[in-house]
Amino acid sequence: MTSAVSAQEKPLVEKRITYNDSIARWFVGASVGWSLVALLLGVIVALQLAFQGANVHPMLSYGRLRPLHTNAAIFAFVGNMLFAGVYYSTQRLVKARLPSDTLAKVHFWGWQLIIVSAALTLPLGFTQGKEYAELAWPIDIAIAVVWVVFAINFFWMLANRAEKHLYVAVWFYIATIVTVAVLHIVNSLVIPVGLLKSYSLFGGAQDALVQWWYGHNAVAFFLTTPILGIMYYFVPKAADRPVYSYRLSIIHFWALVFVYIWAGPHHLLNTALPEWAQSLGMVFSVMLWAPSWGGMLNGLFTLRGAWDKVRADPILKFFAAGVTFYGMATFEGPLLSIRAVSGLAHYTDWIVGHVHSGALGWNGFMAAGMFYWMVPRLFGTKLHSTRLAELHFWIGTIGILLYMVSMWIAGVTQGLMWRAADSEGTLVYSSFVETVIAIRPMYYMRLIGGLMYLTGMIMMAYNLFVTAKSGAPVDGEATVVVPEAEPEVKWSRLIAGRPVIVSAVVLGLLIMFGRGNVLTSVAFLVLLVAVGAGALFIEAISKRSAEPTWHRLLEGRALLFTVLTVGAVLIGGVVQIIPAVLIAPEKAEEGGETRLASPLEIAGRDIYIREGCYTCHSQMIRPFDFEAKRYGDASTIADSRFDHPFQWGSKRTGPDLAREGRKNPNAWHYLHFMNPPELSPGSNMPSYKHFETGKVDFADTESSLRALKAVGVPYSVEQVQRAPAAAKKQAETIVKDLAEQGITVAVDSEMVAIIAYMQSLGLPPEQEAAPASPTQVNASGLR
Amino acid sequence: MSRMMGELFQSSPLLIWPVISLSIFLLTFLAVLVVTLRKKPGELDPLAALPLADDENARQP
Repeated sequence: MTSAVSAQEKPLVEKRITYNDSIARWFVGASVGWSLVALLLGVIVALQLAFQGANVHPMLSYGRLRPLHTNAAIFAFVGNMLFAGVYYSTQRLVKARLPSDTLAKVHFWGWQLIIVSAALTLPLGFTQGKEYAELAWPIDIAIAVVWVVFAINFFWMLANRAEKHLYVAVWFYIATIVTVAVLHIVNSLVIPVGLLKSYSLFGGAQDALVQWWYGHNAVAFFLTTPILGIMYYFVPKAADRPVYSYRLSIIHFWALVFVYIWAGPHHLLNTALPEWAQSLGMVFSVMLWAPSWGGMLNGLFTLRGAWDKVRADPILKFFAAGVTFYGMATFEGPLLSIRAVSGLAHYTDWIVGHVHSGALGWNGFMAAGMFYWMVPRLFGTKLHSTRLAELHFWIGTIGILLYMVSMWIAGVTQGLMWRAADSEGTLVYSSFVETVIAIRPMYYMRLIGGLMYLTGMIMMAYNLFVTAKSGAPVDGEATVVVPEAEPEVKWSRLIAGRPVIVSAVVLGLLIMFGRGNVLTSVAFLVLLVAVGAGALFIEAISKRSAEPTWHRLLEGRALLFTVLTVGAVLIGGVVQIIPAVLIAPEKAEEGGETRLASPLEIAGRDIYIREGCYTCHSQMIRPFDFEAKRYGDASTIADSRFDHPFQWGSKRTGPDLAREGRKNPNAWHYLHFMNPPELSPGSNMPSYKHFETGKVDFADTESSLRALKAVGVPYSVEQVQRAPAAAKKQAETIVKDLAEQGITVAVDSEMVAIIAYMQSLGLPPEQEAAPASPTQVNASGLR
Repeated sequence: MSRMMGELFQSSPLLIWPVISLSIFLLTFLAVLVVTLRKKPGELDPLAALPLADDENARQP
């Protein structure tokens, strides 16, 4: 297309360029390799949920492996895949070689080092305890550095481009690069306590808002927008026809980047979050339906007239199914964001099914389609076996469907069981574990689905490996016509362009309209309509002149385009997050006093976070009658005010623990940690026998309290200084109580600290978490 | 209108920011929508064909 645009311009030189396709080959290889690791981890954690005995070692228990699985799937599998797709397609779309091979190598090896660091630190228990952002703070810094390296090389390539126009796929890549940087930095703000330990700068509701602003947009801008860019490049390539509607792709892009960033609070519906933030999240999530389906239909319709090819070509099959799964996931997402639906679905496996329809169906299948298309071309050969790729497609599709259906059934069943009450209002299934046992068959079915999907990916890895071995690396080449340099349009002309001025005027009128009384509001409304109509009229006239339009000029300025995209993202994101973050502490104070955790309880909470307990237990009782009956009074925003990080959770494989304090005696907790199924037959919670031998260094509690004080928890200087002594004293009380029940535990064992934490949950202010009443627990653990 | 806004802002004057940003979103989106829909048929075809202009080594043997 160089010719299409440059045909109207005076060519100055013809240049032969060879693309850097090595980097695409490396990232494809890394993505395929890591995909097997991520999926194997997924199968292992699915096995652990179905069979408690599969938790064979503390480092390999569910709570530590689940974050490793999610990080590997998101950042290792999809991350490497998107880098491969971005590097391969952008060089060709902008007709420029990647400017720095060194930066590309730093990007590749830096990213792999980060993944290896994650694979080492997460099983060892070094985690920040925030979903999809668990990695320790030094690794977070490394991610930021490597991302900047990627951004520099990418924007440098755009600056060198021979193709003036930026194709829509590149817009999606730009949005990805800038937004992920903003999200990662804001959500990673912490106060370090040690080399690999830190406390989140935000606490309670503040932290929840920031985390899910990040978490949701990680899905949006890491798992969706770059893959949409890849869709807009590779689907037309594979179908050998242009995208169905370029017009729709423009609308798709702008609507998506503006709306997505607002939708984060839908993860916090029916919680203690301020109502307005919940409503905002819900409304924007429902609005998201339109652009998502616009994009999905655009992708599918690109295959119009090529359905006969889809029948014979596994690549097109993967793309068609991937885009269809995107449509299904983005239909389900807004549905789950409706508050009433969320009341049933939240904390259940329905959400897990929803996430996996996107991850396995959309990300996984788009990756497979792209790899099957790219690898033969990157090695100048043919795909080793089309039949094997076909088999991969069918086995993968059946695997995803088994996974999704089993999780739908499990989620809806458990959600209904939690709320089931008899005519007198008493809970029918008062024991939580009953609801876990009921859905166990679905856990077996999920395991089978996951195994099938993994089998398909192993086939793909083999097929691609043999394909690569049969050929030799080939780098793409192209002849580009570099047009005569046009006089650069001054940035001031763009900034002070008509659309910007009109937007500013309209915005001013809107504010006046909102703040005025009835009379002036009407006047401003009339003025508003007049300005809008006038702007459209002038725009229509200016279209007739030969002058390039404002948006066309903008598309030619990659840097300015980027700045405006950042603006679009920030307007929705930061502007939403800042008021909420600022208001949350005020609301928390209004909510009443909050109990300060003791030094030993903080040590216990560190263990709780280390073990990934938040992956199965929430600490947020929703304002439903059936929740109050099961767990206690609904949580308030004040309850978790001093939790850095917040522990509201997102999934209940076990019961909510927000008011667990003093419900059970210390001895019960001891026996439960040692062997959960003994006290709760049918429980799939791992055994935590290692708490008995693990040691807590009381001296460390001083630095922990100091760090928490730095992030705003109101400990006095004396409390900080006396922390080790206070921790020891509280531990001795618990040890004495356990001894009375015939249980001997070392005073500095992790078991004592975690019991102290359990007994503190939900206690009112000024109440010490002294041992619960020494109810006798007999040898079998029954009270 | 002012009473409604007053009630909204009782929670916090900072709530003006989401309202302003929502307005910016709507306006920008409407502008993009209008500009895009007013494009003549065929005007965007060369741009849509960008991915199909391949490099010379990218075709499978």
